[in-house]
Amino acid sequence: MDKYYTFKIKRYLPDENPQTRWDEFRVKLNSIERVLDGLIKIKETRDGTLTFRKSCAHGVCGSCAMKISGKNRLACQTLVKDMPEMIEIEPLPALPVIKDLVVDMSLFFRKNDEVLPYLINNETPPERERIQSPEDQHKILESLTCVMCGSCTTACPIFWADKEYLGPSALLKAYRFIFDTRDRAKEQRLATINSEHGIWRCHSIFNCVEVCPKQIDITKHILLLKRLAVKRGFKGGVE
Amino acid sequence: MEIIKHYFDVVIIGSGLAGCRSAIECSSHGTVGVLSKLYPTRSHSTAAQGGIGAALGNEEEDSPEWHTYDTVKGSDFLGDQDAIEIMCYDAILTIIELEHMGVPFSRTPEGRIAQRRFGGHTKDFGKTPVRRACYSADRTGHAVLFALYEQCQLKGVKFFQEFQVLDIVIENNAVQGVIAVNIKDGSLHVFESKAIVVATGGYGKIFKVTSNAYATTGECLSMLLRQGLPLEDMEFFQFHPTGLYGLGILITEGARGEGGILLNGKGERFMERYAPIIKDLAPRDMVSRAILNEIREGRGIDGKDYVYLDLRHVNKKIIEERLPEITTFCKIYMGIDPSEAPIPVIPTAHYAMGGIPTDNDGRVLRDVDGSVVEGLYAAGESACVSVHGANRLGCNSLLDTVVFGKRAGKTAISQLKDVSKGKIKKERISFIVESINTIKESKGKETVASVRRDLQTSMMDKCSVFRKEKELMMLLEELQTLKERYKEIYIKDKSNIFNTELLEAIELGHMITLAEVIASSALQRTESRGAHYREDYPERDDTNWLKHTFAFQGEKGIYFKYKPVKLTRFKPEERKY
Amino acid sequence: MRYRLNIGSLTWLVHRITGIILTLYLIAHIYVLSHLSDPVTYNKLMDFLKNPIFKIFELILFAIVLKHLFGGIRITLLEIGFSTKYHKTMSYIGAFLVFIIWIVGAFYFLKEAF
Repeated sequence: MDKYYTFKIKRYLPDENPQTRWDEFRVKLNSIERVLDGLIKIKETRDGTLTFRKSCAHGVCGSCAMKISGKNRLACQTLVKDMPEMIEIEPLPALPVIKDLVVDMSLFFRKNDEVLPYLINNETPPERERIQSPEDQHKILESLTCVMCGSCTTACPIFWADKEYLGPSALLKAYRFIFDTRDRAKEQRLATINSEHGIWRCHSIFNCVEVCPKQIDITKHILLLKRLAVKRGFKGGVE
Repeated sequence: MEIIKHYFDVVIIGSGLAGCRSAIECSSHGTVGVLSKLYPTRSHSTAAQGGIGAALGNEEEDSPEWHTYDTVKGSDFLGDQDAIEIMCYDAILTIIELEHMGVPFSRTPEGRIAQRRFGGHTKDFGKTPVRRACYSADRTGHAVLFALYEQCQLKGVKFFQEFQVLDIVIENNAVQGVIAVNIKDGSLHVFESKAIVVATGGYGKIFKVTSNAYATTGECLSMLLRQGLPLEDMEFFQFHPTGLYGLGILITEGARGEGGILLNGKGERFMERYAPIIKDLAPRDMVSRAILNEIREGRGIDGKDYVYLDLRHVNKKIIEERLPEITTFCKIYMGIDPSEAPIPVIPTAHYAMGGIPTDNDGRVLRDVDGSVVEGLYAAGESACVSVHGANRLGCNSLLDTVVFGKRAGKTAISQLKDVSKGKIKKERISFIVESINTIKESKGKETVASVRRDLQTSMMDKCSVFRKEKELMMLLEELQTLKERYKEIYIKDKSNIFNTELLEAIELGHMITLAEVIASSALQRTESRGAHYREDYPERDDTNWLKHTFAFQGEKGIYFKYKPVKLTRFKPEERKY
Repeated sequence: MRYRLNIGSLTWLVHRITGIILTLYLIAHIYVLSHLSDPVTYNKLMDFLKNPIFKIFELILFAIVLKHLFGGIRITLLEIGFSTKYHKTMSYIGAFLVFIIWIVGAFYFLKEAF
């Protein structure tokens, strides 16, 4: 069943004057179509200069994260039938805008790099796979789902005020490695996140949990990290 | 336009599984630069769901010999058996190496890597399905890609993200380098190198209904074709049987591996008729044809054009634990819970068996006689070794990318001392700049979108699961018209910054070339084998057609040469399941 | 920048604002007390404070204290391991309890005052 929707999009075109403006487009979409389909229709038939990132179109790559009707979402997972008739679309907040809905994600990715996002284990590996019980694998199962779309960190008011804050995504990545029983660099990572701009900046605002497209309970993981850091503090930093 | 020069010993195009794995291999002995038109973790490898196959034997007895047999039979005996043997025997150590790199596999109660059943994988040369696919919930591709990318970061590999390759420069049968544009600011970058590894993935976007991402347009294959290099087995394109109806989004074969069954409009498990022994776990080409056959004969759900994938009888805990992603897809896009309602599915364009011809070590072949291009390598879906032949078995693709990605990287590094440094001439760069300006300044009336849509519809209608001579000839004519229409394309976006309209226009030109190769290859192969099914030639013809197709682009169009299939272990037999 | 408020971010915002107000109040309170050195100044101050507007202020202060108290309890519970699935429920229950206690307290307070 087709219906008309108005897409109110915040434009940023660095070559034009004025650079920013709001554009409105009326598009006809059916009940299984998504905001991304609407944006593609607009780019193909009304205005070829409309620029946005897209890739998998089913919520596994994280390219199309943007602010839709005031909340960060993935455009390919937001069905238009769940939205009001007038849909406001803006780029992700608090990051520099390159063009229209494309933001510069380098600051976001740099934060991930700070927590050493790779398995560090310099022991000689066994001949077969390392043993890891299913219960141990379950500990990190939720944090593995993260696609690094950027919705969480850019929705966090602490990040808006302090760009040095590591942010939910980097802290979740730290969790994924600290709690992976095969990793051996726990202390290094704990030192990085147990710092001025690390876990203690989180005030359990839960904005990240509201927007995560993979429904990861990020705050729960950060709280687990806080408890680990406190336990370590009491025992004087030893295992 | 700003032009910036770089030098790397090895330049890798594509940052998916094959690209990252060869980068890890190359980084130890030379400078490596990886170019990708997306941020690496967004590469389409992340969408792979089901699993990566290896005869580890963790859950039940298994052997690489059975794996080899299954892959050879699955490829409808078109796969080169020596390459398949290498892949299946290497598989065990490959998976263990991946686990050591940090891939978070799902585990058995004893803590070993868990394995599940998958279509076409059997024990004892086809007796019953066997648990061979190692998995991580239903996000195996995501898990492996993240681990490989993370290891690349650990080794300090240099990534050039959101750089689109405009030309792969080959002169005097030797690789010179790559010309790419930095999407973010439109500056042109020239990468001179000694070796190039092409790992750009598939080209599913040529079809209208596909599980592939928007970035899978295959332009690097077209760039090589236009320079006189061949493309192998392009007529073989796999259509995955279970894509969500109306969207093409993939529902993994793992769902059938965990017990899901396919039902037609009459509520019967129709795969019993097409593959009496392994039923719903038959190879994908057979299942796709079965589904479309049922729909054609009026047995779709309510007579409509889809069938049901039923998971209602599967243990709820198993669905939650091992199939969470597809549950999310069904809930979000269809509003249904797989444990309570059946899922509407139809075949969707999924995997390209064909591609850039290589030998078993990843070297790109120049001709059917085995001669190579100096310094050029390829791996992954964009290459054709060929391990998948006429049809790919599930969970072999992830294995193929990692095994041959490693081999290509190793070979590239070992041959560095024999290869001279690349030099890209100014004329080549000016030619690229001119072609960009031509598109920008063109005053035609066609839009990129309309030409692309017509291309995708034509290919889907006339060159998908069922093919006929008349329709293929009509398709070739339509492609000629599309070529003319392409010259009249007008783009509105003239900026240098993140100009996706311009990039899509460039991609479209290459997509039309590839479509022409696929259609011509499908037309000239007068038999049915694996995923290539001709309604006018429905039988497999081993006497005339047990050979690989090499397509070249000449002055007068596409012409073909043939390379025999390497048969070492198993003689071709009838493919019954 | 406009961003949609939800119960999680609203709870935090209220907690932060009540915290700032309480801090300012504490400073003012200590400042006032520090100037009380003899019975004459004390009685002058008490008469000044008999002005009804201060009763309203004290009621508001009471609400602010209650809000910050329950907000703090919620955060402490979360940090010691209470499931984060209940963070919204805790906010609602906290708001409800604040309201009930404030009404009851306000009733007795006003009875005393007038």
